[in-house]
Amino acid sequence: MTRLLPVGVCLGLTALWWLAASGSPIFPTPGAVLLGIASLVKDGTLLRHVTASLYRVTYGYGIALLLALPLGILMGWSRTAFTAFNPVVQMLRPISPIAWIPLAILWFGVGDLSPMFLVFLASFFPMVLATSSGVHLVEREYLWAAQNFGVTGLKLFTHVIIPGALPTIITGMRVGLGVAWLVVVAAEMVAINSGLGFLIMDSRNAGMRYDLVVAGMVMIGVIGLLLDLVMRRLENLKEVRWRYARGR
Amino acid sequence: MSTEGKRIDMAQGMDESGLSVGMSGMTMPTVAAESLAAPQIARYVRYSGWPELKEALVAGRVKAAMVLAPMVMDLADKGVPVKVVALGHRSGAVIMVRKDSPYKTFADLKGKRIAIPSRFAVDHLFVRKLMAASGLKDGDLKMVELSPPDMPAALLANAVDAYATGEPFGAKAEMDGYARVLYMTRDVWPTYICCVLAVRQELIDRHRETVQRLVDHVLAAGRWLDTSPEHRTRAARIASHQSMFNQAFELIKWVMERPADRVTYGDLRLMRSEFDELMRLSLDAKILHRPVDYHTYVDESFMQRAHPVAIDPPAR
Repeated sequence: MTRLLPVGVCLGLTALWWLAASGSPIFPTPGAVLLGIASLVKDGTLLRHVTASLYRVTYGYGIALLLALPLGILMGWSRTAFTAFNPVVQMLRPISPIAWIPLAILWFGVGDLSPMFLVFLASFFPMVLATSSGVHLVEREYLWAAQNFGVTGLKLFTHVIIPGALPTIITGMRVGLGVAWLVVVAAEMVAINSGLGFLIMDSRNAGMRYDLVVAGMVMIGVIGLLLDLVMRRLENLKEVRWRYARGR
Repeated sequence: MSTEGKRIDMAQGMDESGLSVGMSGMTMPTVAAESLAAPQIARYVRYSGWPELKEALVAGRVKAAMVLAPMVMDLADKGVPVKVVALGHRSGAVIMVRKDSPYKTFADLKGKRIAIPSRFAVDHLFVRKLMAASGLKDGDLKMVELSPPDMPAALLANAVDAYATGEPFGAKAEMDGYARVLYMTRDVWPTYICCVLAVRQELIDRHRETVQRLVDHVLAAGRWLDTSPEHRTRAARIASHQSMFNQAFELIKWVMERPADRVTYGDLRLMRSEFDELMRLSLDAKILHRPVDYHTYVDESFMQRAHPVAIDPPAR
């Protein structure tokens, strides 16, 4: 029964969408969007756009993750590192990737690197923040207990601090991946002829292709959902599960 | 062309929120002159880009707009009730390359990267026309879509080898000293049409007089601009104002003067043959998928009944 719940919510919202969109000059109906997606599948462009976006998001997000984890752990553990880096992180964090576009073009040109850089920027900071607060918030009781057993150094780190922080870190990774997809439209303003963000922009520039605009939105949404399902599997690891009071 | 846009609210004598005309790029001197000369006709609000302006027009939130000609053809074809009633300006597009680049003719760009605002922009048609004239085929140029304000930086960073845009984004790089003009529309396509004044049908039906006055004043502003260099400077001054287009005065002045026919305003009449050519190029570029009947998207009656009005906008 509960498995049907999300399907029901989706169907209900789609019905509302259909009602709201009928007779609108711009807003396409779900049917028109489906036809739009079908036409993209038929001429093979959908696969091209999806792969291009996945490729850029994977690299941008991947590099962000690789750099955010060590920096976050450092900032969470060392008061000095936190004092040193926190102001910069907080200053750069709220700046929209759109504002970075001119600099991205200057540094990385026009192509795949610029969008990757913009995705990187967007997803890097939330993950630094989550990681550092995850490490920072490991309860002192755990540390005392570990110290009583003589656990110090690297072992303390790998056996107490990382597992203690992992649930928060994984939430940060989920948020980071969400943000990475959130900015794909802005990031692909500097992409060449491919990507779901490009598809949306290009269809807006066209006369009346709002079916394809919404098709791009739907695809980004669906991919976001699938990726989050994968990420949530990480939460089922026993290294993480210990912290949750409620089962799933 | 550019992403600049302006909206005119013509609240006087009208029951709805008013007539709004979105304005773009090098229509700005016309708009500036016209709005100051006849403030009772127009009040301007800026739009930030083409899609926003088009969406406002399609949704009927804007009753009139200066939009790209092929866009109006497509909208009219898809059943959006809009008609072209006048032009916004002529010429005013450029192909820019770096000053230190070896390119002398368009054929030299074979295999290179050129930025265009979007494949639906008239600048794209300009590029295609030059390609045809130089014997280049589809695929001989790598076209990159970039928003015009980002183009100068892209050229400076060698991310593209050339770019095609409406002013003032060509003049910007020229003024900053690292770029030169490879082609201007004035040299190869002097009757080039980019932005046209499009009006929604319900406004034409219910407020014919208002539309007629708007057309009269737009034509007058165009003629005024082309009768004296001093007028162009004055218009540049007005257009540069923060409350108008907020572009550097020197930049607009540069576009107005170097040379004086870089953009022209004196002849904003509608010529069927020119629209037919634009249509042919649009079909060829696959911007349009089928021919659109001339009378579906043009209403010549305002142009035919236009009568001269004198304008003399005060200097700011």
